[in-house]
Amino acid sequence: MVHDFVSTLRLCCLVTTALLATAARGDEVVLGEYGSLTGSEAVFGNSTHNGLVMAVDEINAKGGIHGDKVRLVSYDDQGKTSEVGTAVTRLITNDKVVVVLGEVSSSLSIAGGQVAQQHATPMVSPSSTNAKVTDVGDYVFRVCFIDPFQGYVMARFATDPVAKHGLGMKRLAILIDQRQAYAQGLGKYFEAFFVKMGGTLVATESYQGGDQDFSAQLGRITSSGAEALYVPGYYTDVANIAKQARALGYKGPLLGGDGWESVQMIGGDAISGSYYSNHYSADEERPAVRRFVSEYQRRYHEVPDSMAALGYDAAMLVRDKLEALPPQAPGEQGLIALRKALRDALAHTQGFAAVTGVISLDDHRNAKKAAAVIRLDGLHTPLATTIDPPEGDFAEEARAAVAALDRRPEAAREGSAGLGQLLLKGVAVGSLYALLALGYTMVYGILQFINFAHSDVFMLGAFFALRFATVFRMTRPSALQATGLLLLSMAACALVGFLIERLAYRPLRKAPRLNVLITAIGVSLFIENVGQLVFGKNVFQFPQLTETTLHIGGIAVRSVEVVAILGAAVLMVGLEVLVYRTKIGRAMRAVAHDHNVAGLMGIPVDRIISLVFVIGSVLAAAGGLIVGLTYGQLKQPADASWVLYGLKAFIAAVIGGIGNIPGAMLGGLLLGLTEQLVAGYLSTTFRDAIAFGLLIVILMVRPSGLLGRRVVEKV
Amino acid sequence: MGRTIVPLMAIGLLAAVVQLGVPNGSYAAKILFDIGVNIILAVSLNMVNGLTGQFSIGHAGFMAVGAYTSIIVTYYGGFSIFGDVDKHLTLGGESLFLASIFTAAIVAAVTGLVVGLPSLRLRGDYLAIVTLGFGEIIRVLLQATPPTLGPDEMSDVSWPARIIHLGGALGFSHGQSYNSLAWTWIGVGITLLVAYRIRESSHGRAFLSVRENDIAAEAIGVDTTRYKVTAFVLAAAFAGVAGALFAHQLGAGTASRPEEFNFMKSFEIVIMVVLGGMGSISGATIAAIVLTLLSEALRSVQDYRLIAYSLLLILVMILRPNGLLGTRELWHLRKKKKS
Repeated sequence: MVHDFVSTLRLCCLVTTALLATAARGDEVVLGEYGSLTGSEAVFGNSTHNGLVMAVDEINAKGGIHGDKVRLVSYDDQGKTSEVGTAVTRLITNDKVVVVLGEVSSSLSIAGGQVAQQHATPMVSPSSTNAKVTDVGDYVFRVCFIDPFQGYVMARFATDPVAKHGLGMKRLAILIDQRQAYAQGLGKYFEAFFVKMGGTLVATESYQGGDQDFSAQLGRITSSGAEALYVPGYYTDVANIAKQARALGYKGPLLGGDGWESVQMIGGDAISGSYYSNHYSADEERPAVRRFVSEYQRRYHEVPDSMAALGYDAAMLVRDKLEALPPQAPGEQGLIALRKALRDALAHTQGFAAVTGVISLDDHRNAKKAAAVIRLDGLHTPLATTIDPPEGDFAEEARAAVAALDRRPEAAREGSAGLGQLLLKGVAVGSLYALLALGYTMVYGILQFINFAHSDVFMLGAFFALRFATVFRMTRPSALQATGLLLLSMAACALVGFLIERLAYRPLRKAPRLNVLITAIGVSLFIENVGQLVFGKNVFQFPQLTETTLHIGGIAVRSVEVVAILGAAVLMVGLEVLVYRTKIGRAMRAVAHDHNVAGLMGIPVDRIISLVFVIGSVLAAAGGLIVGLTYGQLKQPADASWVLYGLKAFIAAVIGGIGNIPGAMLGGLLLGLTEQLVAGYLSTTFRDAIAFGLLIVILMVRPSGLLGRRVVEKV
Repeated sequence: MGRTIVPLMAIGLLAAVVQLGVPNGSYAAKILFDIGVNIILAVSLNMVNGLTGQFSIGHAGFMAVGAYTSIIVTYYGGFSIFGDVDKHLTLGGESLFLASIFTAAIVAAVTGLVVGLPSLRLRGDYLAIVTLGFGEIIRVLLQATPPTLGPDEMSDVSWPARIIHLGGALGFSHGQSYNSLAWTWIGVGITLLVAYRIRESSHGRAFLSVRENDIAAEAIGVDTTRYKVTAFVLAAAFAGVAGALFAHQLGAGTASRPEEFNFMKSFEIVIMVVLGGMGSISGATIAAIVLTLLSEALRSVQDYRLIAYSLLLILVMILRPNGLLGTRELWHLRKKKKS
């Protein structure tokens, strides 16, 4: 054992010294960047990176700093705090950077800031807005405003009379993403200032980022009579929320914060006429903005968002300070001295003219500058107004407002989504779960393992349909065209399902089940990550059917939902007939019963197993198309929401009795209805937790599910 | 006695070497820390996947339980003891950290019992889905917690109510980095020692019999459910230790964040176990080291990392179904060459 440790240690040392070999060269100024270049927040991370790279190129084109070239070292932190620790340590101790630039996400900036503080190296965060970021220490700065101010801005904008460019509204609802610290913080400050300014919150709701269905929350918000709805989340969810709110008959504007950036690209008409606070608007007329936007567009062929602008500003601020300081003295001591001097210079930043406005850093090392309120108008994002920071000690004011809010008694919930609406939605979501659950249950019935890759075939079904729609230029497909899309996507998924079984699972037919299970997880991750490379990391708009919404007895019935429920029902009846009324179905049941005996009876076992995978994939493809048509947008292929659908479908299959086809349908409907009723009457935050809790209870009380038979394992 | 004393002395020596030999706060120290935590995670998961042949994919969930439990002890507990939340580099501070690690292990073990008992009575793949669901529930619960209390806010909240202030989705933003390389590698040594000694004991034979054929094991009088649950609870306890070490990690004391312990983290641990060889302690250790270093070397090409991992996983399962080392240990290979 001891010998083992020593050799292990030696190996570590060898490899780390190899990694350490990238030391800084002379005659250059090294800037470090850490950011989420992959992972769930990669879209923002890449924008920031683009802004930084552009700034560094411009600095070098003008002769660098004191004649020295500027070099940017960038490390990906995958959006994880532990990786941030490694990346920032590596930047500071190995690459010998003068300053660390980074993170968008506030929790990651806090982790990075702690490392920078420990090594006495200044860090400038371009766009982390949580108040706690600069609390880490006196080496941590930022060039953006903070969430308390952003909350204040939208509260002012909502309550200010129309004559003062506000909305003059006093009754608002708020919908918070519980999964994002950003949304939790911003929502709290908005609420505090809004109440302080005399407004009333008539509904407070929450969701989990990545959720697809918001009807329970939006139902209550719509019936609460709110004049506007504040959603401090990310644009990917906001677009979806806006569409579903309109379908439920909500008429007012939506309000939000800088996480809304790019929402006009996927929000369509539903989001038009809404407002959000931001660092700047790419449509502003200021010369600095025009020059930045045109140069950025020339380089990257897209309109820069505020993450790009803030990244650019952060690098330019650092250049400005370094220019004013004497150049770095040689050696380690010179670097330490320069870092210290840069920190002191940054702390005294006053009136630095940047793309995102005039930046002055206050005593808490936060940028004090005006915020832009942006109106969404189709694909345009014109400036509605700008709001300056208030005079006096703003930090103290924000603290007092929040403290006042915490002392206020809990408000009673107003409005409800209506039982009928919840039941309809429950059946719609439930039939989708049922379609997917059938794929899990059939494979389990025949091969006794959980096909983890099933949710990925489902995801591919949606993306294939999207690709075909793009190829055939369908923006508003007719019913016939949609059927065509369905058939094409089914065919493509059938092929994928067949290949997965043939290449990954068949070689393991005789292997222990554990190995097949692990392979299935491997296949699942492989498809997700290749899908992300092929299709991209954005949120995709899905072509919509021309649809009508009927209001029957207070229930909003969307035509697309009715079509989806009917379509799912037809497919399930078809499957029932196939399995129980045809010869092939009998062969499938025989194989499920006993592979060997079925083989002896002359049934081509391998071909039947392939067929089961093909059928499951076809049903999953239909499910994918239903998701696209109902929600109008697709999350990126590696998004957790796809896996969550699969998990819930599997739970539905277990509830109904795994291996049992009518059981899967029953389980799907039950789970869908339970979820909606829980969200409607108990809690939206714990909806998923309750779904999993249900699974554990069922496993304890009735391990073989509602319709399953108890099977005794034989040797 | 000698079989316990000698390895313990070796562990102490190793801890002293890494602590004194590697400068604190350096890049090498951070890498050695990452490696250490990953070894504990991989070797402990190997107790479930390798020793008893069950399949858990919620190991990060137990890590989260350990991380948050320990940080409650050092932060809120530390405030009750010292009257402030600073880092105490005294004997008291170090004892507090040690106590937090033990508390983390115990709470994680109890959680493991609650999760494992209903699902381990059933067939193996239910455990996979239940552990996955458990990881998700932990995340949702942690995200809904109120912000961490600063020292000046402590008086507003009574003692038992403080411990739910875990920072929500932002993560625990006030923690102190009590951990050091010495603590981390003592943890590694003890994990390896316990894993090795358990497998070589008579109980170890019972564990292995469950893996090889649980019906046959049942027939010769092995209480299979009890052994499965024991292995699962033990693994959860060590995952809790890894979580405690992670939560107080070098540099950033704020590493605890609900998103940090998601399914992808669990999956990375599974990969280490599967590649190293299911049942091989040295295999899991080597896989943890190699994959940690590999991930660091590939920092600039992250887009392809997961594709490579997943493809590797499929290929290993098809070509070497028991992982690279199988159930053998590294030193078995050498013996074989000599003979």
